[in-house]
Order: sequence, then C-alpha cells, then structure tokens
Amino acid sequence: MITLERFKDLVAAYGADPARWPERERVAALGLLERSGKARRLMDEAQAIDRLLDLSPTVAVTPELQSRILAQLHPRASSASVAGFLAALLPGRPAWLPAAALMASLALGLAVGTFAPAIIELDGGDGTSDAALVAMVGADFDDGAWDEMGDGT
Amino acid sequence: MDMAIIIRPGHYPPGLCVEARLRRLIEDPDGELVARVARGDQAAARAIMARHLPKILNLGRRMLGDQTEAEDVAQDVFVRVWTHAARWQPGQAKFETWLHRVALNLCYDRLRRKPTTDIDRVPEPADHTPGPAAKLFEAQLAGAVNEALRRLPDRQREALVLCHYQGLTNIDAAQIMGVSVEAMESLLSRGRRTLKAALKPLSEDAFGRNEDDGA
Repeated sequence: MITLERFKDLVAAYGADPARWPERERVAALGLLERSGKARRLMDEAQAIDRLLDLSPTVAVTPELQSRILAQLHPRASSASVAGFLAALLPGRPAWLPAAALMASLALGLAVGTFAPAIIELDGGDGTSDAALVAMVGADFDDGAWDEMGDGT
Repeated sequence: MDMAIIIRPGHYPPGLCVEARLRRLIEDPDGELVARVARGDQAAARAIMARHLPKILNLGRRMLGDQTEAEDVAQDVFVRVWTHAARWQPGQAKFETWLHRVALNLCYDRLRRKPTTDIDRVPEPADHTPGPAAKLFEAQLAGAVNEALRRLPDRQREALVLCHYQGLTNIDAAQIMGVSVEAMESLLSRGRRTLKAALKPLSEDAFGRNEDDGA
C-alpha cells in the first residue's frame, strides 16, 4: 500500500520510469497509478522532466581512450606473468624459491662468462675460441660448433 | 525485512554479516573479472572496460561538463583498478559501487579547482527555427540541458547522475554518496525541481513544438 503523498515524493525524486523506483515500492506505486487520476497527472509532470534530462547526449568511448587505459595494464601484466611463471616452476612452494634458483644460475653463468675469454685465449685458435664461447653460453649447438669444439680439445 | 536496505559496508548487522556478504559476493558480477585483472589478464581487462568504461566516461562528462576531463578521469579510474585489483576483497562492496565512488572522488578533485557558476544563468539556444533547423535546435537544447546540469549544486547533480543516468538503485546511489536513502531522495527532488525551473522556457518551446509537429 502506498499513499498519494508518497507517490508524489517518489516521482518527484525518481521520475516517471518505474524501473528507477525503489524495488520494494514499485508494485504498490504501479497499483496506485492505475487507480488514481491524480497519480497519472503527477506522472505526466515527471515525464516532462525526464524528457529534458534525456536530451543530455551519451558520449562514446573512443578507441584511443581504450588503448591509453589498456597500455597502463602492461607493467602489471608482465610482472604478474613473471610471478606466475616462477610459481609454476615449483608448485605449492613460495615464488622466491625458484626465483633464488634462477638468480644463482645467472650468477654462475656470469662468473663462467667472465673467465671464459681467458681460457679461450690460452687455447689460442680463433675459430675454436668462437665455437667454445657459443657452446659455453648454450646459444647454438649446431653440428659445426660441436665439431670445432671437438677439434680444439 | 528487506535485507538490501540494511546492508552497509562495515555495518553488517550481527547474525546477518556472513549472509549479507555472501549475497554481495554472489550478486557482484565483476568479482571474477577483477581477480583475473589482478593476474594481468588482458582479456579480463578488456571485458571490465567494455562493461564499465562507457558509464564512467559519461558520469565524468555529466559531472564535469567537459569531454577531455571526463576521459582523463575515466583513465585514472581504470588505472586505479589495474593497481588495486590484487587487493580487491570480494564481498566487502560491489565493484561497480566502488568504481563510481572512485570516479566521483576524482571528479570532485577537479570540481574544487573550478570556479562555481549560477544555475539562473543557463544560456538559451540561439536558434528556435523549426523544420530543417530542428536537429540543430535539438543539439542546442542538449547543450542547454548539459549546462543546466553542470550548474546544479554538486550533490544534486551527483544524485541525478547516479540515479537517472547511471541507472543505479537508490540503495547503491545512497551508499556511494555516503548518505541515507531519504537524504538522497531529497537531493534528487531538489535537483529535478531546479532543472525544471531553469529549463522551463526551453522545454515549453521544444515539447510544445514537438507536439505540434506530431499533430
């Protein structure tokens, strides 16, 4: 049940579209609307304001704006991917464990890389040096490189 | 008792707390997307933008009356989403409600830096010529309505934007505004009355002429 006074307040606040009325009062208000000519006049007045408000145009989202916003996601996305990758290496363990293992591997690789030129120079052969270096960093294991490594040792 | 009336973040009634939070969790269609955004999922980010960016952009446009500023606000809002997604707590509040609150805060930051204007000085459209000029007149009317909206007191405009344009429920709108439903209704009524008075000459021209056209 709803009073005409409450109906008046309702349309004065929410306008003439029942979809905007409070859910728990909607059915009662629609019932009153069917029964009351005064309620219908109040609806007409509210509709006039709704029509004015609806003249305000809706602006569209430009592709440029979308791109600008999505571009801001990238740093998080890449850090999230790295975290996800690390977590996947040792499921159920903290992400720092595989991260620490990777860091240790990297440190070992750097140390080996630092000493490698001196070792190669001691060996003396130019072609052999290149092949050895390639093999040490694990970048290219084609047959030629293996052959030259074999020749040089 | 209507549970939806009494649910407020941080003020869950004893005994209803778990139920209310579960209900929010179930009702929030964005929870899963936000969790995926926290993991850097581009598809989820696109989906959440498709769902909310148009509304947030238009909220900014109507609150600030300026397209460029509205776009800047929309961008800031979504950057906050990307930044805070990992800390999002499903069930605490609806994501859409939070999004609107952030957008409005950013709008108010900008409005505080703008000079205030007077609702009584809404400019009238220059051209009232019917016929071929009708479209132009309609565009001018739309401009006048936007201007009248912009000149409303901030809280009245906020209530109107949330309920009329954003389509939020009275409960969500009141929650976003941090007031009771009754106080929000009062702001809505005053806003509509003020707009009606400011635009009365225009509405009589426009709708009077439309009715004549239709006859």
